[in-house]
Amino acid sequence: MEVKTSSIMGFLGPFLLLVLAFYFVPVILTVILSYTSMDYKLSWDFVGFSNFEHFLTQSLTYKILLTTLIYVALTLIFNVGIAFLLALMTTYFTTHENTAMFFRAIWLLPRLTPVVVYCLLWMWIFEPTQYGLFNTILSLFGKSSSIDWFSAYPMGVIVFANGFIGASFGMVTFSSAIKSISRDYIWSAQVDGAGDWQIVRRIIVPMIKWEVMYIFIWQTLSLLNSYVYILILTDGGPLHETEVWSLYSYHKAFKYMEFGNGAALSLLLVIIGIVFTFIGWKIFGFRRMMGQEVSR
Amino acid sequence: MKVLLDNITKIFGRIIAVNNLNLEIDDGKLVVLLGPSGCGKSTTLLMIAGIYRPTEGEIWFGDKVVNDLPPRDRKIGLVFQSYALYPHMTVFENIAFPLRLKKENKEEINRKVREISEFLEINELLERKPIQLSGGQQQRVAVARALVKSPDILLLDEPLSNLDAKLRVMMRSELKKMQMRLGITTIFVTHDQSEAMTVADKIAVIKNGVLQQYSSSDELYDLPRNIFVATFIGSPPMNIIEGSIQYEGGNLFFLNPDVRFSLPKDLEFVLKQKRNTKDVLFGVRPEDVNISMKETTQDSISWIIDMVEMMGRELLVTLSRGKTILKTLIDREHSPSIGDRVNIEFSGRVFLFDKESGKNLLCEE
Amino acid sequence: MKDKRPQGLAKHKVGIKSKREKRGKRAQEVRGEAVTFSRRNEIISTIIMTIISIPIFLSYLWLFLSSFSAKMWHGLIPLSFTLHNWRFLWEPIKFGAVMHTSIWPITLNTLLLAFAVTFFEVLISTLSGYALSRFRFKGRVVIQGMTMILHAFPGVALLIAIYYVLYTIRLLDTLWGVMLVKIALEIPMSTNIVKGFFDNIPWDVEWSSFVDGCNRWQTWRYVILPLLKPGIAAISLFSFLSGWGEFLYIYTFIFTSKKQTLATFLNSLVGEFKFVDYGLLSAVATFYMIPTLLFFIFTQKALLQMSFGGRKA
Ligand SMILES: Nc1ncnc2c1ncn2[C@@H]1O[C@H](COP(=O)(O)OP(=O)(O)O)[C@@H](O)[C@H]1O
Ligand SMILES: [Mg+2]
Repeated sequence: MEVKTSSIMGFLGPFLLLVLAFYFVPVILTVILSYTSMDYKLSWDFVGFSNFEHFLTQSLTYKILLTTLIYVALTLIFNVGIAFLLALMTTYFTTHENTAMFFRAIWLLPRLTPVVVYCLLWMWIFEPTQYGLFNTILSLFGKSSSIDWFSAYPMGVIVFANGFIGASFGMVTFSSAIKSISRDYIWSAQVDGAGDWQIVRRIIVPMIKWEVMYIFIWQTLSLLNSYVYILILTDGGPLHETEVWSLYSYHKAFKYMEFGNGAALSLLLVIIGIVFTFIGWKIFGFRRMMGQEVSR
Repeated sequence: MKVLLDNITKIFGRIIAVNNLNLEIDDGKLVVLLGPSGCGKSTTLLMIAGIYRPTEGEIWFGDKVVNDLPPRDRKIGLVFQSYALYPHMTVFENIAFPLRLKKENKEEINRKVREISEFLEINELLERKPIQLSGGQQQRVAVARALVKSPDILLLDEPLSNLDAKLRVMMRSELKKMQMRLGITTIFVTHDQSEAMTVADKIAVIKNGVLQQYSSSDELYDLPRNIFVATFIGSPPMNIIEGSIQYEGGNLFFLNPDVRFSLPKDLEFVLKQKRNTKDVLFGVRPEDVNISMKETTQDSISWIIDMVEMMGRELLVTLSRGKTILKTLIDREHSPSIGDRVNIEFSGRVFLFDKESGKNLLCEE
Repeated sequence: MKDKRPQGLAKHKVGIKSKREKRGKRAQEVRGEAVTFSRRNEIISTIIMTIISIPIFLSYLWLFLSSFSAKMWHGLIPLSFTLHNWRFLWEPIKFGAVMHTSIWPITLNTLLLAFAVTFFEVLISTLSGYALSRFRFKGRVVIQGMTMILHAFPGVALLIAIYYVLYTIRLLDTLWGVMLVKIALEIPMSTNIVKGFFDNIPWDVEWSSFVDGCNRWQTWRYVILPLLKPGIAAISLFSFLSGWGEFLYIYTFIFTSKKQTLATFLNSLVGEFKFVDYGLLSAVATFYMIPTLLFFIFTQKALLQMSFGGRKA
């Protein structure tokens, strides 16, 4: 359909305006801000590279980098693993569609729950006294003293809390991918002599490898930037043990009001974000987009 | 291996996909399951393969009941209409897959794959991925994968339906040749009656999950058991005319307001025993109707040519007389034109079916 | 007579619908019929699923039960019933010397934010999705690629700069500012989704509706809108819930306690009553969960069928 530019702007104007104000300008601002020592007065004092130099000389920076890597890696394994397990179990290994629906629905709930409520649930699960879920379970197995999870295993707490959310996201993608595998392949494999485990390993996994890759890239990116749950649950503590890069940047800016410093830290995330999305777009989005173009 | 289906029924929820099916397939024969789509052919095949479990009845391979045997233990090869070639494996890996699962050693696998791919003339393609193959090549690979573990029974579910018309005709005779050479018991599912007629030793015609007739191609054509088989087999389909039969002066006639055919003498004896049937369907194949311009017998006067369709070597001519319509296949030399008045003559068999039950009245019970 | 549905339209609709239903049925029957199916594996998998799901269903159960009980055995099994935890509905909560404001204005704030986000997000994304799907113009491919890249780009990484943007346009410490940020960071995704829905409405359907005698408006009313409804419903639902649950932007961009929402309210209660009064916390949280639960109960089937690829976690 041929249309006038003015009416296109009518349709796309609000969208473009929002994108300009809250994506493009902020990306540029982040770059510029990282060369300033802006604080709560919000004034522009350019300081050259000193923000970056400051971080390079601090040992805390390296600790936080390490924490971030551990956190991302653990959560990724946890949630992609569970997502795949759940997807398999609710599709391939279930004859009762109702059971499958029940579990899929249960796992959808965390993603619909308000963040703060979700975190409250995990506070109870990891409650340090005998009233918490995990301590109750432990006491059922005969352990009398309660564990203070938040100080003993803070990393575990945030990996679990984030993992459950991420898993439900991956599960939806994986199970629809598994469901879309034609039954002929499964049946052929059965006739060819494959058992359940071999079908999973040699047919299902190779056939959904794009989805697995997609989820991996996507999850890595969002885990690098998802500090909300950590902010509410541990606030980075105790003693920076759960302070990941993005949270550190947040703290710098909004706790200590060092906006320049914070921006310098988040610049790294912005760059990683841009690189990752380009990679992801090249690998996945582009194909999808081309597909849409062809079908016209 | 001989296969026996003994009172097989399959029910999905409220749908009866296969209804009390009895079928005996002799060792080394090629049997076709034929019927319109949705009649339960695939379901039957999948039960033989062990993918579905029959709701009732027993499946025998040789002298063993295999109902509880999983597919991998049944020694069968299976080819789907979609071929189901694993897209992430090369042709070689696809064919070797069943052998690898049996944990055969490498040389053995190599040898068998080469052997079968030479047999099917796909040895040039072994390094390719399925997506790089044409439809016909994919089909051969699927057959190779089914045959590589030397199964006792080969199951083919519409194996030719995804090919274009020309290739289909070629592949069906190749499949038949291959089957005869290997002497493997084969069950072949299709909805295409001409395909069925050319490859089958025996054909099982199925409608709505019920077996209609199980016999050789010839018998199916010459002596259809009921109106469904009669009209399903043969192309263009048999002419069917509603009417009744009457005896007049020792002769037998088929009548309706428009036509009056005298029936051959040899039908009389058969029909005498079924005297109570008056309402019948009269059937004659288009290839058994001749037309001529000259007046012959009293009951074949003046049909009008309504339509002439070119069918290649022959012409399909639609004739009408009152409300009755008759199609006929004739040579092109006749060059009839629309509106002409012609006479007809039956040169082959005519059939009579009971109007209510659809049964062929000329078959013995 | 005028608004009578032109003939032939019904057919399109039915065609599309029944196709979808068929696909659903095929997918449902996975392998229950198979002889190979090993009951043992199914039982094992159900057990594993149950075990890994325990934290989820027990914690939601706890939330509900504990809001109505005065005492819980091991925090799990209620021993007595009370409504005391729900006192915040009729009186302000005291903590030490601090008196929290009543919950109702806060609820109203939350509701307004959620509705505003929903309304503008649906409106803007429908406009831009339609344009990207149906108009040919220069730069379309660029903008389309942009929506996909931005869809994946983590907006929270920009929080500091966005703070400065809001400060500059004087929307810091306003719910309008929060709303704008929220919409902006979600709009690439919803635009993508809406575009997808439009792409799935083939031109033929639009054309044949013209042939069947529809004018442009009737085409929208009888053909496009019905086909688009599920998509719009889904986006509304998700943007409502995401607006309703929003925490970080309010926590960061709002300083006045009168402007807070249930998220920050509950968060500050958690800070004060954690490990002390779970009864109160779970009652407030349950109250906060009401819309979520309603949506969940009434729409979960639809939600599950829609694979929501790429919703930011
Ligand atoms: N897995 C299934 N679940 C429910 N109904 C089925 C299933 N498979 C086949 N059917 C139904 O059984 C009937 C026979 O199907 P099928 O054997 O596939 O037919 P054919 O192969 O002859 O075309 C059809 O009505 C079909 O809808
Ligand atoms: Mg079939």
